[in-house]
Amino acid sequence: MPEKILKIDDLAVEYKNKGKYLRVLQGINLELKKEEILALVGESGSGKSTLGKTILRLLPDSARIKQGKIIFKDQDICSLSEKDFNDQIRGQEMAMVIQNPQNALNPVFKVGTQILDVLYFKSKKQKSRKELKKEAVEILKKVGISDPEYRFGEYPHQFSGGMKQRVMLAMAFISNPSLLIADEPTTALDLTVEAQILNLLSNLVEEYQTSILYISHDLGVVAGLSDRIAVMYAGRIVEVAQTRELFAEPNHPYTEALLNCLPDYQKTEELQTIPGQVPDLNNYPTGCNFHPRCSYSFARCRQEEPRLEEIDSEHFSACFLNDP
Amino acid sequence: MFIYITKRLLWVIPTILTVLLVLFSLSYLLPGDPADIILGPRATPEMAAELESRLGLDKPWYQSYLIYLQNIIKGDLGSSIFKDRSVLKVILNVLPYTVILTLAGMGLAVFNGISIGLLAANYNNSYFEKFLTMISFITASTPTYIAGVLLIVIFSVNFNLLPSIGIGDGGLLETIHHLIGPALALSVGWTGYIARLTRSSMLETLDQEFIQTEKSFGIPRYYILYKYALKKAIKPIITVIGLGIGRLLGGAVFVEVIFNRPGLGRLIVDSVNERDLPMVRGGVLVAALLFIIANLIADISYAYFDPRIRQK
Ligand SMILES: Nc1ncnc2c1ncn2[C@@H]1O[C@H](COP(=O)(O)OP(=O)(O)OP(=O)(O)O)[C@@H](O)[C@H]1O
Ligand code: SF4
Ligand SMILES: [Mg+2]
Repeated sequence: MPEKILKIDDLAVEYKNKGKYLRVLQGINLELKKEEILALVGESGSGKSTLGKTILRLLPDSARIKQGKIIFKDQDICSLSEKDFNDQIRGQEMAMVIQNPQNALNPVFKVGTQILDVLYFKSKKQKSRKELKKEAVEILKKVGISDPEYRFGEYPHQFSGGMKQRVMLAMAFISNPSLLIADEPTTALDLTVEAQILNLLSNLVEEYQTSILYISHDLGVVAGLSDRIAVMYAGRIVEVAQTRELFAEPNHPYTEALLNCLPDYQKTEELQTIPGQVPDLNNYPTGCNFHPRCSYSFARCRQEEPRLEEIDSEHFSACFLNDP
Repeated sequence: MFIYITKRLLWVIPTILTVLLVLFSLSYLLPGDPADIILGPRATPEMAAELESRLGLDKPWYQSYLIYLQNIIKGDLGSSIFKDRSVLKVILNVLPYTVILTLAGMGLAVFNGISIGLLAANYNNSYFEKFLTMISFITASTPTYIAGVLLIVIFSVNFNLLPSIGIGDGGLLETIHHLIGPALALSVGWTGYIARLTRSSMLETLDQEFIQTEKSFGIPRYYILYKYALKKAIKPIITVIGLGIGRLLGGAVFVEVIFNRPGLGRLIVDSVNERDLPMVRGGVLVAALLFIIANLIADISYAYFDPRIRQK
């Protein structure tokens, strides 16, 4: 079995809202193997971005980690000081590409300046920006930006959304991270550009041998990209399986419902939507978070919380149907 | 950028013409005969007749306005009703004091305001931040004349640290020593204002997604704060600096009167009291010009900080 790079252990995260802490993530257990692409899928508001930000310590001041551990390469990174975390982890071992490329680059600095700064701090201030410029131009070329020397001196507003996302990927891979957190990097792009970026990402992953936590709300997008998929619902992981297995034999009713929403997943005749909505942070239901929307729910679902259990080799699900 | 600046410069012309028209019409709006008003009590009928033909006061108002404009373009602002002193000369004599006072006040306000604002943003949600916010609030709502009187009472009367009046004997140290109190008094309101603006602008910027990107790529916090966030956050501050110079010119009047300093503001106040219309007109014109120039500089520097405008 390949080596683990990231292990999240019983993680719970809360947001402070009007003086009260509300649970956003609860009992998260997740593992990422070396050079693996793990997709994290769930509806809007299920807490995907929060999980990504928790790993990289980018949560706002109003959030706190209530319990749990994040083990990265056998080190508990939650216990690192902010300075050590910044020196050793961010931009060295991990990087993140965020959801909305329109606002991902600083509008008042040249794209080149922003890239050089990342390289400069990656080199721990050892190399001059002049030396680093060659590396920067090189990587821009690699992510498919034509005439990189010229575009180096341009401002973000002169780049299209797809081009910005390429720049973001360049900046992320510059540091040759072992783990990249990609938070819906293609959601804001149109379909053809999305395909190009996904393609680019696959190539980069192969070349740099990076592990990726790929966040998406769309099972269709991650089907061709990921090795494994973790399905998230209302702050909990409800199912984890190999991509192929998840599509062939989904176990959790929520996964099944998500799959039925895909246009070319022909299990039912018509395209479906899941009735109801993701519960509000203020009033998570008792028992299984999904029970108000689950067509299989029964008495126990309203009283107890199902735990994520291994139901088959490497296939985990949190549903009482497996354990009636 | 070039086109933007040219456009902006062209806009100055109608603004100035309007100011001039208002000043020009003053002599008609005040009760009495314009020539008598302009000449003051020393007027004899012969002098009045001579002035009327020279300024075109006997002609229709628009011709007279054109003559007024011509004179101004030539640099002739007329003469004071007292002793025939040239208005321009008198103004040029006192102008440097006002300019220095205003710039020093603004400099203090910008430096202190931005420092307090940055500290408050950096230590957001702490007691230190609450303390700074309170200071900004108090200073922002203190009128210049109250600040002036308080400063005199505290530093000059109680502690005898600063001189309370005048400008000193002309030596550099002496000049600076005499400038501290007035400049501080002048800066107080804008210090608080700039501090609050800096804080909110910084917090807003720090909340943006690109700051998260920069963090996630391992850029250290101090660097994000002082390079990436500050340059973005400083934009609204630059626009208010231009505005602020205009306001501070207004505040300088009080400061000059309270601290008994020569300057444009005190000149205008004195001239109004003496009913010296040519002097008032000249003083207000120069003040308006300063105001326009300040705004012009603010606009251009604002454009410089916004690449979208700069590249046009
Ligand atoms: N700063 C915050 N303060 C309070 N609540 C927050 C904050 N950020 C997010 N939340 C709440 O936490 C929940 C999870 O948000 P999160 O952004 O992690 O969801 P997501 O799965 O990434 O959704 P999306 O697909 O829309 O990006 C949401 O209910 C959201 O309203
Ligand atoms: S535990 Fe019950 S409610 Fe939850 S998914 Fe399974 S069947 Fe549905
Ligand atoms: Mg999200």
